[in-house]
Amino acid sequence: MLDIAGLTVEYGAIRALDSVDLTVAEGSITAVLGANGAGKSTLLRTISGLVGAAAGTIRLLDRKITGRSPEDVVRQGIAHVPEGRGMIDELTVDENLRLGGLCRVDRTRARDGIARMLTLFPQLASARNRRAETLSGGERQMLAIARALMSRPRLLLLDEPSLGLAPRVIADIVRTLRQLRDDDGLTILLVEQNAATALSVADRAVVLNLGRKVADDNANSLAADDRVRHAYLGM
Amino acid sequence: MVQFIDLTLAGLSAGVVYAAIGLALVLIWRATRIVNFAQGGMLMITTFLAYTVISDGGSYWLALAVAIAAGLVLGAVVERVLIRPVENKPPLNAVVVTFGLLVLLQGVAGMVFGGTPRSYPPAFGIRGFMVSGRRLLFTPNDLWVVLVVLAVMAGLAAVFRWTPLGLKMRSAAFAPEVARLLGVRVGRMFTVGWALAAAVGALAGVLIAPDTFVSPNAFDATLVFGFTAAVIGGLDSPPGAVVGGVSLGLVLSYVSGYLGSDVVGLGALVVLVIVLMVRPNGLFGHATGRRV
Repeated sequence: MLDIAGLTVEYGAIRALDSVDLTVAEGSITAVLGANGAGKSTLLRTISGLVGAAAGTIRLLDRKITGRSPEDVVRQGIAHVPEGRGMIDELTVDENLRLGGLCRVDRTRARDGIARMLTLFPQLASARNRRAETLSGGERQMLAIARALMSRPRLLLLDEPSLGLAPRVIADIVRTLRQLRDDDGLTILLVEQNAATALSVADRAVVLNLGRKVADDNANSLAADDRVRHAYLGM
Repeated sequence: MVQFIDLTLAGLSAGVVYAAIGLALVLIWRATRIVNFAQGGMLMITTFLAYTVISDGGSYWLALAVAIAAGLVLGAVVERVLIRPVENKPPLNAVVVTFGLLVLLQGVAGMVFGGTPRSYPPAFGIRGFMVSGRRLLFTPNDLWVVLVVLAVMAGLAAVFRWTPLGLKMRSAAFAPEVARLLGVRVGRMFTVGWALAAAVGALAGVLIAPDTFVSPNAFDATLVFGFTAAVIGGLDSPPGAVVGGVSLGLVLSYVSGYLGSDVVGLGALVVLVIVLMVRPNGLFGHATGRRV
């Protein structure tokens, strides 16, 4: 569904991504692994249009989206939960959710969307009128995912969802991601430093190192590959 | 006692105008983190347009509508053409641009209209209300000024709080990058913010014009007080601008009435210094941590 070919991104003289190829299959979870500074977040930020590409193309369902603004990319069906979750602390939970649905044309469906999110994430239901800044880390991550889903994306980009969360909360989120893939056929591209968690949920995984793709395989084989595990994943 | 009531009501009607100007500055600060030093020039131009309508035989209400419409357009154009290139640049760039615009607008107004102050008619009578046989200084026109400013503020608050447009504008102001990822056209929200702010400023200009007259520099003092109101309130908070404006109006009115009108400017300075000493982020501002 997502085809990336020869993607190169430069910040001034620094090459953050160096001709990366990546294919994400519909209805699958793909993990992007690698150390700090490997280019994982840059990859997501380039897909969603926050960062411009120096070379290469990104296609969603055979439509080129390279060079589009983030406002347009989300309307093409790609929702991006950025690093640090991108909570808007000053807004309430309900407002954050409504905001996620505003780019959709059909407003009544957006209202159904909120109801659906509150069933999917029951913790949010009791906090609807609280400001986002009062939520716990896990609740914030759930709200960030729920808000992204309000746009009814085909592809969900998640940047480090496990960061700073307790294992039990991470397990909740992993279960939700599986549920979204299996029940709704959602395609997920997941960036993680926590390789074990990511490989446990992903169908496929790629490893980035200093902006280059150094491994690309299905998640089980990659988890069993000692070379990759020792060299890049610290497992 | 009667003097106290007179001063309080006078302070209130002046204060709501400071509040409106403060609110215009706050709307722009919140949206784009820019202090719009050209605000005085912009509302001076729109008030001159309203004056032109009236001197050509148009009604007060037509002139008011023209001023507000001109404010909307002027605000949007200024943001699109002059401010867009300096957004997300060092703050000094925006300071230079807005100051430059102020000088430009005052220069153009001087060339077109000349420097002579023109009188501007009030909307309603300017003979004070009679209360139990005494005539107050508070006039029907003052009442109109207070009511219209409060109504506009309530309307703006409702738009921000309850409409999708307001939600988008708040998200664009608080977290522009996140807002873009959620599909909010942030640039457009900034334009709308500037347009609304300039329209509020245009309203304030028409409301204060009967007191200050209309000339290229007529609104300078009012603008300083409006700016003071915004800073007292916290620069980030629309309710803060309203509270700041009304409190400043009241204090200045008491200072003028009990101590003498010569020390009004000093009074504003004292209020500002005291508020910032007690609450450095203003009455309604959020304390933000700073990394050092």
